[in-house]
Amino acid sequence: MSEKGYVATILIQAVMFVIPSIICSFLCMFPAFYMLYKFAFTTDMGFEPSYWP
Amino acid sequence: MGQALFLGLLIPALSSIIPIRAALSKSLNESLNTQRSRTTGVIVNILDASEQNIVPYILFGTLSVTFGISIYILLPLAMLSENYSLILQIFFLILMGMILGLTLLALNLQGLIEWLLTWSMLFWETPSMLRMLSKNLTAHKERNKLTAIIYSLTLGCIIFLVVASDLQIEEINILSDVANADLIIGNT
Repeated sequence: MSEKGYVATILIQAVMFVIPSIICSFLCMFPAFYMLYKFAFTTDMGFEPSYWP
Repeated sequence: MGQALFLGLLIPALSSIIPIRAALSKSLNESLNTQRSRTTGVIVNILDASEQNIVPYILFGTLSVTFGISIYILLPLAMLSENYSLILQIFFLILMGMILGLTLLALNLQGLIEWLLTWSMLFWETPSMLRMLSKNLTAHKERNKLTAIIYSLTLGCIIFLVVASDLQIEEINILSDVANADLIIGNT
């Protein structure tokens, strides 16, 4: 293994640690937005908020 | 969404700079060797005044001076021009600086807390075992210090966010009360 390969291993390991949390946060985003908007906005405000960021 | 993904990937990439530097400072064979423990009980630093690296001190000093001068100039300027956005931004920066400063101050308590936890949580152990544990903690002090910094910074940020959100909720409640009321009697 070369030094470049070793550096790439450390970088890949660092990214692989956060990938599950990134996927989980993107999945949790939609129900979280739904609940927040349900409490924060009412229909008589005259607009429909989008759940897509 | 793109920004969140970018930040989520940038932060681990940036945080791996120090491990990469530490790994490259040794030979590849030594870095990949998992058999030998890397924890060293004794660290010997040989300081040479002529070869001292003063760049971090100058960098930190320059940053602190810039921060101080910008507050002394920008805060009165923002107050005179009634720029509330700038005032709030400066207060936010001061609060962030306070969190950082208090975290650094709290680091001085690390040894004391380690000692207290060892002697209170494991009070039934023999004195020799407790001494061995405290020596073990001393050997891992440098690594534990980094964990303590991360933990106290995270805790500080969470407490700050909770207090800020509580203030916001209280403010919104007061505003909604004021909007619905015909007469308001306040106790100041």
